[in-house]
Amino acid sequence: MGCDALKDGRGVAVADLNGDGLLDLVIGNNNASPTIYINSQTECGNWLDIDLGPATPKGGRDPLGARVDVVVRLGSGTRTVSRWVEAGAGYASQSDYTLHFGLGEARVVESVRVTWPGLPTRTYSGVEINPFFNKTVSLRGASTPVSRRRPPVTALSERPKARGQ
Amino acid sequence: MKRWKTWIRGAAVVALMLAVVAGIGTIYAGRFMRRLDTEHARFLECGQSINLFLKHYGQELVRAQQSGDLGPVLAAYVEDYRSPGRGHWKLGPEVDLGSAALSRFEANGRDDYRCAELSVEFAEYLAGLSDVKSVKCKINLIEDVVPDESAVITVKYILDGRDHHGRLLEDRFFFRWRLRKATLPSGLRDWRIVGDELVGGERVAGFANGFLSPTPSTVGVDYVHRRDPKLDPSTHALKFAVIQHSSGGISAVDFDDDTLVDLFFSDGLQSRLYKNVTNLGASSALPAFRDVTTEAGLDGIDQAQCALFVDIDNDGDRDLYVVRYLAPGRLFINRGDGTFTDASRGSGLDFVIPATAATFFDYDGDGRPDLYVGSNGNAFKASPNIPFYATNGEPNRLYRNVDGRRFEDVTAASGTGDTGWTLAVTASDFDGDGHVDLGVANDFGRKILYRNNGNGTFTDVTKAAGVLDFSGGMGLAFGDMNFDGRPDLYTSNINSNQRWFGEEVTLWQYGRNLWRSGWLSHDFAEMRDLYNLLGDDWRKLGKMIGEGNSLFFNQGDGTFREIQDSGTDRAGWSWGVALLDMDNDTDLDIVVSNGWISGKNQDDL
Repeated sequence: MGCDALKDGRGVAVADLNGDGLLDLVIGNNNASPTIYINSQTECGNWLDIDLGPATPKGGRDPLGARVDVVVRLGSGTRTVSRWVEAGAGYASQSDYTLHFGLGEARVVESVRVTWPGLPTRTYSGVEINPFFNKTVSLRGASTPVSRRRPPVTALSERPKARGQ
Repeated sequence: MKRWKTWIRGAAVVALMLAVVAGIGTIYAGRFMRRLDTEHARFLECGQSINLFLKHYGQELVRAQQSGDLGPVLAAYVEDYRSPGRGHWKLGPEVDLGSAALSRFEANGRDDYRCAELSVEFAEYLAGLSDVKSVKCKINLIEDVVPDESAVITVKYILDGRDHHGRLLEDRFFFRWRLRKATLPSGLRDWRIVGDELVGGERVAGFANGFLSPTPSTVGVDYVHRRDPKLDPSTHALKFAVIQHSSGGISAVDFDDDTLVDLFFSDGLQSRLYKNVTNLGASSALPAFRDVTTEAGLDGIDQAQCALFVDIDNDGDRDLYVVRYLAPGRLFINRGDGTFTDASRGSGLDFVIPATAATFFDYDGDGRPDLYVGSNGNAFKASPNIPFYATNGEPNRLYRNVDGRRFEDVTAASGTGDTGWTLAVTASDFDGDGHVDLGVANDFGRKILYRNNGNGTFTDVTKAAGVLDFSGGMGLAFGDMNFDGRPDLYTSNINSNQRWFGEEVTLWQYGRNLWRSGWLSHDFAEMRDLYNLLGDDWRKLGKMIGEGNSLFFNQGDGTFREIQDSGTDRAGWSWGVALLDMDNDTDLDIVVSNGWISGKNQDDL
């Protein structure tokens, strides 16, 4: 995979560092420089990034414990992909708050369910979310989804391709 | 009076008899124990000599690929080597994993094998390789042994090299070898292979172009991790010197909310913050970073283990909390413009413990992030008291966020002060009841799953949930691996090459040593606790400890089911672990910080 550096590896953090829709890795190494892996795989699926915002009574930038379920149609059935907002996991690491959803060959999202802690689940329809397909959608404020700034990288605009194309 | 005398005489006789019986018993017990000691010593010595044999076997195989001379490899087999019905071993068809291909190493047919057939098979296998970087062979298990005579072992075989397409590849095979002690030890040391059997194996091959790995300084990250000087065993009296290896925490969070993800490195001398300054319109696929530690007001953060960016005061920006080892924790409030103010004093978070890990989560549902800190032991005062169930670490701590600036210690009231040698903590509502639970990974110990009862208290439900996972725990991560909407659990553990050593005979030896040294009574509480947790399974403790990483599927009823043979264990000595969908195909892949291991859990299971 090209991801096998020999160092005294410790923390692993995950984030899309170059905004191309593929998750990259940074590995902290003890007594050495870190290792940065920029994901450059070519046969990858579509994606959706979701940035949640304050919706709890106390507000706050990131609703810790919030859960997002993205329903996509794959083949003849649907698949629900679930992610949670967390702060600190693995070994001495913290990964980006933006929730990253790989969508495989799916072309549209059926729906997105967001469960903020202590609040009823809100369901966004595919119509609301699909403008943000292969982009980052901000659900902060929870009224209407808006695009986060992060524009696609022009040189990588061919990507991501759904597998099999 | 006479009756009284008779009674005394009788009592004396009984006492004498008891003393004699006890004396004889002690002598016999002593002899028995000495015999067991000898047995254990022979077992150890035997294992070590087999491992030496395996090491040479691997080296000879590398040389054979280069020289084309199989002689020295075949010399590892006895002349009358014979494996009836063994079949021909070769790699099966490749399964495409996207940027890598997987093929299984399988036994075909049921041909009998002798040395002649063996050399043909070796030649065929080596012909498929254009380059061999290394071959590592280690004892996986000693299944049966007569020291100085014979042994049946399973061998872990790992070859790293390249094929004729130029692809990098790794073979991971498991063999069962019947060994015989050589009458004439030669260059291959003391043992010979009498017969062999394929347990299983696979090859992963790829062009290694899935990831670019730029030199960090070329993308603006000129950081090099340095250890905390107070943890240098050459200048400080440490009882647990291993602690110097523990740091190396990393955070990848957008601290200034400009949509680009920034990096923070926790360091022993000077932690550093790098702002992501990638020009998204540029043609480069590489990101760019700039060191903004000083301008952000974050100079001088030393002795750091891990750092978390969290909106602690709920004002809409991400603040910073730095966990330090035996140094006061530090809290920095984000001014909203990407610069920070030190707010440690009076926060309640400037406590001093041998902290190694932390997670923020909202345990009481008030919308404010609370803090759980994992504590190791104090390396200046102690080392782990029991190598497989150390309980003399300092208690983990739970701090309740009172008003966004002040925290109160609720460890005792919440019941979350585990005293294992904690290396990782994480939060997840594993049972989906809306109250976020805690997971703890302890080195020299077990995992802990604290169920949040929703009333400020937690209950240790690890045993009932089936995730005790005794081992040298290094990390753990929750994530839904199988699309049922429930968080599954992946743990990273030491996968020791000393696994073979963790047999019952060694556990008994440990027990005898404890008994003789008088430590048994000292450790009695822990041993009883251990027995309560494991029951008769304590005999398997050695196996559990050496077995590497574990994957547990959440069954939705508060319990987990361990997934065997998922291809996710044996990732080496694992520290950090992360679950991520690295190819956007919807399923979670696993990355362990000693190397990548398993891209496709769905396919592997």
